[in-house]
Amino acid sequence: MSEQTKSVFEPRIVAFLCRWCSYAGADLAGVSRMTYPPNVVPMRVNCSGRVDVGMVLKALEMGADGVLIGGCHPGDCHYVNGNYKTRRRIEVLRNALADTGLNPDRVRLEWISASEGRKFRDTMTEFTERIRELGPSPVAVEAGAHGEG
Amino acid sequence: MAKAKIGIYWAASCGGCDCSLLEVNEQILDVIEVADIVLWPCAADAKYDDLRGFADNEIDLVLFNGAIRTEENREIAEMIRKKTKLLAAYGSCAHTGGVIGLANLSSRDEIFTTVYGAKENWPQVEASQHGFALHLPEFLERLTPLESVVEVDYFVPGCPPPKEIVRTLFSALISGDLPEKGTVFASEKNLCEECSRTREQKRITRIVRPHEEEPDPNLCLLDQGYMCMGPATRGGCGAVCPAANMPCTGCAGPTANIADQGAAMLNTVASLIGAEEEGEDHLEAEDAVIAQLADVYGTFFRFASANSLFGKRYHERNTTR
Amino acid sequence: MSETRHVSIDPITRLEGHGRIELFLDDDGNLADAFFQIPELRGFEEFCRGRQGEDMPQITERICGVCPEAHHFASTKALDACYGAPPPPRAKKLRELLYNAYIFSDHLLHFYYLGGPDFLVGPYAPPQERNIIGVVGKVGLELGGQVIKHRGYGQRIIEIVGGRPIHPVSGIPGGQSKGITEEERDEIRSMAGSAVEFAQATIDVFNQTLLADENYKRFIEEAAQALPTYYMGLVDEAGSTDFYDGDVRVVGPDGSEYAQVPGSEVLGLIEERTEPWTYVKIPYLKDVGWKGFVAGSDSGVYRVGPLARVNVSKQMGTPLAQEQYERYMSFFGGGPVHATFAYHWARLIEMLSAAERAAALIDDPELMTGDLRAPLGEPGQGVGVIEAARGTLIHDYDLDERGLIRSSNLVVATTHNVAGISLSIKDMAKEVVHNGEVDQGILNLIEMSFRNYDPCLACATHALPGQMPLIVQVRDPAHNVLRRIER
Repeated sequence: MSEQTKSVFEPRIVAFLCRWCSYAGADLAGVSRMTYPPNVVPMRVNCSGRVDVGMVLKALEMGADGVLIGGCHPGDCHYVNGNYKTRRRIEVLRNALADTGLNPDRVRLEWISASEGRKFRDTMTEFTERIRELGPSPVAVEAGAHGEG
Repeated sequence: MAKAKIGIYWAASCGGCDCSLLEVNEQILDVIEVADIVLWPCAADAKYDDLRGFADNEIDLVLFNGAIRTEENREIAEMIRKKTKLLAAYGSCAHTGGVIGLANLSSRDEIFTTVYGAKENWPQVEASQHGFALHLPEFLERLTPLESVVEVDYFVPGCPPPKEIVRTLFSALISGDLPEKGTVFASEKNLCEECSRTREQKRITRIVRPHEEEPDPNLCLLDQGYMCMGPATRGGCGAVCPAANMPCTGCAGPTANIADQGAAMLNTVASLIGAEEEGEDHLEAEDAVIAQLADVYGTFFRFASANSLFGKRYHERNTTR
Repeated sequence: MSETRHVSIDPITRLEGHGRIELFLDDDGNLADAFFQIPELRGFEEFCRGRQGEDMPQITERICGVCPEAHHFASTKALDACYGAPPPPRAKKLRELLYNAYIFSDHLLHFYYLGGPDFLVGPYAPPQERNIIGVVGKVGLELGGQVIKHRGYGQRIIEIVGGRPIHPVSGIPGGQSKGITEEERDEIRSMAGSAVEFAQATIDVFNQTLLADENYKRFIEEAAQALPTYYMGLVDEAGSTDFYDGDVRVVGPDGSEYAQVPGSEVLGLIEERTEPWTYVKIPYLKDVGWKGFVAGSDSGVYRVGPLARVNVSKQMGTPLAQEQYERYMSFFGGGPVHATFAYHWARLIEMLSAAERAAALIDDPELMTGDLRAPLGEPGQGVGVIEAARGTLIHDYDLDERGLIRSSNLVVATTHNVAGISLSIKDMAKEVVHNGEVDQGILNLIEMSFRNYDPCLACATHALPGQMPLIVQVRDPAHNVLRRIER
């Protein structure tokens, strides 16, 4: 990776956001004109429980340097217990990713409610900076996502 | 009527797939009635020069077992592809990389260091001994399934494919009624469909390793906390491992609708883990169970890691391990 | 003349695994040098690190699908030692039953499918006929049917006791995962009895074919095809060959005892060397030393497998095989027998012995009652030694506190024989290659010299890494670890 590439590294981040809470929170941030980095590609899902391990891996394989999953706070899931499953899945996945030598910080789970526009903005900003700090994901680099092939 | 010409070849393999062809016992005599085995290094004397001598598409069917590990494996796979009309990836290694795919977690240098020690002791592609030039095929940096180097017409999963599947394959060969290209010689359903154990879909409150306890012989192994790969694995084997009180290890690879067998199982296990109820009071108990997963690669990715993100190791700094 | 200066036998055939023989001729067309190369490697010792100990019987058995049972139970026995949990009698006998069925089946495979066709059909027969199909053609469908049936019996016994016929699953630390039912026992009893008869019939076939064949008789009598090496094999307390368990005994070319040690100490007897032109490593007896590819009491080259086991044992331990053993020893005028082609004969004596043992075990009452598992101690280090069909097999594991593999040493049967095989192919090539005349019959004779050993080359490329520490654990009678010594 050249010095020049390093200085212009813009993380590519996929955020799976549940429609009832975290996507609404994202909307609120937008409507309130809060700025957050443009590096995030939001993907709306009906429930964070929709997000399975395979989807997160696929996002990483397709070139995401970081993946964020946003769901309702425990106890508030629109579908009652979807987010409990999400929590366990992401925990299992993060442990497993650590075994691969990838930094598990590249996958993050956050509870963001519909009224937490500020939390959405802060989370995205922090996460983008954390990924910028980590550098391009080795998986993304291999997939040719950063142009070097 | 002219006999068909068939071949059986092994790349990076253990020989188990070759032996599995004999598990049909007397049916092998029916096979040789209709076909000449023109290549089978394990059991017959045709050499590479004989293989080179065949015209393109002269052989009717080759059952190719083993993974692509060395330059020689690749070269012979390409040669065989030219010489045969139909090519089957036979067995787990040819199909999905097999258990030897776990070698991809290390670099070639790491493997050679473990096996041979210091670099000056390593085997060489070109060497000279007493003035004579000797050559070894290069050990490739990554092991891959057959499909990575040539187009494959049939897939016969299993480590090795069970005799019921071999019988089906041989029956098709004997009758001349080979199925369409792309056919997978296995069940379309997962192992659970064939397993005689009763599934109650309990929560996994504890991960149990097979040597820790004797399982209840009638209940689902996953329900009892054993890491059984059945839900993500193709059936067709009769679920003999669960019948022997051992969890399925996934040797037949994933069902058709699953791209990554290990990822699918990680998902399933995570969903099932927990206390009897879900809720904020139970999160710590859940985490304690998750922490019991000791070997993700060996448990969930043992046979089909080659095309998964879990098919290699990465080397980031600042990781927790 | 220059066209025949280099001849490759590529690949060598009718064995397990990948191999190549390279022949180099001098200006007169006689043999200048010969090399036995193994061009394969898969790296099990590397990727076994970090695996769960209890998964090792199923992972390591994929080293070889012709002898998976050997790895499965060497691994299981190593785990028994790691957990301080010798199996209860019922589990041990179930393992022995399966194991003897495996030896029977594997030796049958070699005689009729792999090495035997050279004599059953004939060494100069057309290549297309030198195989099991040619054998069936030559001996007839009735005997051919018996061959297929009895291999099926061996495999069926493995399937019943081990769960699957190839790559069984039943071995666990301290026991077996399952028992057998009374119906299964009846089925096995009938198959084992038939196996004994078939093993005897096979010896009759041997007497009528190999022993009556001019080539075979020449090869077992001439010094050029004999190697006065050391020999290694497992023996029980009475000094009989025991495939499943025992001490490792090594005898010298003159038959004197070189060493008899428990399995946990055998790794201390040997060292290995690498060569740049082959992926396999070459073990030799450390204290005798490596003197090159030569045989004799000053050379550390030693052999394993049927010829070796019959040389290191004092008797066979089963009555019918014992009769054959005495006949064999009488033919050669006493042991140790150095004639490499005698491997075929020794193998059939063992095939009979294994069938007899299986037939005796099936009626042991302890097979059907009692615990299948012993209680386990804390995980630690342990060694499992067993006789694969092809020779002594050693698995040595060091488990961490979670029962995961910290490191593993595997010394695998055919590896011990690599030096012997190299010597044998060269001796044969020297004898049969003259004036640059090399036809497929002559090349096949060279291959026949390695086929004696029934090589398993996928196995051979997994051998003792040079830098592993020697670890000894001392346990109390309750199997708790008192001390752990690492060197």
